[in-house]
Amino acid sequence: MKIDDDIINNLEKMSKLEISQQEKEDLKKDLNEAIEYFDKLKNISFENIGLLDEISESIFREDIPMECKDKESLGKYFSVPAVLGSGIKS
Amino acid sequence: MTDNKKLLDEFFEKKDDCKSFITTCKKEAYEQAEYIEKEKKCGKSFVLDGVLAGIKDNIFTENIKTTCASKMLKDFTAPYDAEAVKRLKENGAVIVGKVNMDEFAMGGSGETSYFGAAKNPWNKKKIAGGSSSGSASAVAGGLVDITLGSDTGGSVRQPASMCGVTGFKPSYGRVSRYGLVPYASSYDQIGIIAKTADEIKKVYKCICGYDPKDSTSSKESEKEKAFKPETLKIGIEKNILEYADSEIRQAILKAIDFFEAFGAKCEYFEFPYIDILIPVYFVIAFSEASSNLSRFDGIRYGFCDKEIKNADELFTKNRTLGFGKEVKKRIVMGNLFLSFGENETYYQKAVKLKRVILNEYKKAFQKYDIIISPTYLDKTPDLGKGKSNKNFIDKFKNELCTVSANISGFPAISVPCGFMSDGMPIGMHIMSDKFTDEFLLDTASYFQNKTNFHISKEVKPSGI
Repeated sequence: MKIDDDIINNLEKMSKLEISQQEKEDLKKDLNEAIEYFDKLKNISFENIGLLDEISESIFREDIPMECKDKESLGKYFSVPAVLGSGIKS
Repeated sequence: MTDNKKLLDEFFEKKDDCKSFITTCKKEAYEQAEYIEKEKKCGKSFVLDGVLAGIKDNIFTENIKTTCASKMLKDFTAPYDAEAVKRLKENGAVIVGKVNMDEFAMGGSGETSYFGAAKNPWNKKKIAGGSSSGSASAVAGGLVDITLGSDTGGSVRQPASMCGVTGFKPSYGRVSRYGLVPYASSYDQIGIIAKTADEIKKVYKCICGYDPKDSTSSKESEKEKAFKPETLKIGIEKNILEYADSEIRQAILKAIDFFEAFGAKCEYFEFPYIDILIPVYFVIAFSEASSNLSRFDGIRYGFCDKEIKNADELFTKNRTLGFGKEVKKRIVMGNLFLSFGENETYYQKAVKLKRVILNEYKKAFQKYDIIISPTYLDKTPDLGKGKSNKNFIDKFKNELCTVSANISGFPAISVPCGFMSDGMPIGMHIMSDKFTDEFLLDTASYFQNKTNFHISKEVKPSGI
């Protein structure tokens, strides 16, 4: 894969970032070098290796239903300051 | 009896001319010291009495800023203590402040910090290493006894090596990550830096252990393994040693001679997947970083440009202004590896290969008790010249020494083992099997008790 301007513009949008033209050029160079290097991953055979093999034991706690707190006692936690301008409050 | 107040008076008189700290917390430190004195008068004793500690600025501390060395979080104060910090305090350590680091722990030189790079106390023109740059320079400069750092690919061990101190990354799951701002969650581990492995062991025993608040915290106990130099079996990573600068290679070979002289059996071996360690490490790290850092949009945390009226623009503007260049680059790369069409090619393959690498190291630890290599392959770079002129691959060459412990989850430590001709310290990297952390620390301690690399040259940063 060759990283071109279209891919960079797409990644910029996905990352929710504004990237300057100079940064884009640097990024394109770095990404192309990286992709070339990371392409080593393509050439390795790893048959019979599962995606989640590394999890040998459950790391999660048991799924036990618990009573939830009533909304009113949690009321104060839902008050947040305005974020956009000064007009929108939740 | 330790007088914590006196220790604090001394600490706050010192000048931090290596930029080791981002924030100091005088009020909280004296309050903690007062509390300890009061408890001691009631008969309580503390394992870490008299220990002054610095905390890497990506680990939560209640009422003290946690900036991650980023503009994004420059005014963020954590609402609670990280579990490791809580345990440190319960055992009598006094937190004196938050130490410098690479922004969001992304970097290997300390130079991506929004607050400016920490300097190396051995030579202030040199980098302190990274990403736990301030953690290492604060201990090396004699400001504090111990520091907590975070280690995602060598971020505790590499700066420890450059600053001539001891840096330890425990087994994944042994120290709770609750309250550690995540970079790459499957690699991140809180580590400890101190002058000696003995001091680290004391701290480690206070902060390790299961924590239900961290879903990756392990309930498994330490494997019982006694350290005996005469029966020690050492594997030496031949291919990594060959990449090292000749002075570093010589220092490691001398350390190997040291162990052999006490009866250890040493054997060179070649790790078959050496070429894919870095690609596997970075594909997973960058992918996890892009996901973890998506939470920073200026709404829930940190930097927010209040003038913007539109939500989409708000997210983009805040992230663009809040993140530094290196962080942005890693987010973009992570998004590429996770994006439709590339996910299978890169991310999923890397996750599978992580397993292959782990299995290979497990095999190696059936033969060897410890694996030795250098911690860093080159001379300690000058500030400003760390990585800027290198291409992508050269930038990450040095991570080869340390990433295997993060990919496999094994414990690893860097101990001083010599000096370069320019006077800078050299670190030896020792890794052992999972959950043999105390055995590893005993091994490092044995080496340090018989050598004097960690104390042979007094570090005297001017003004300290």
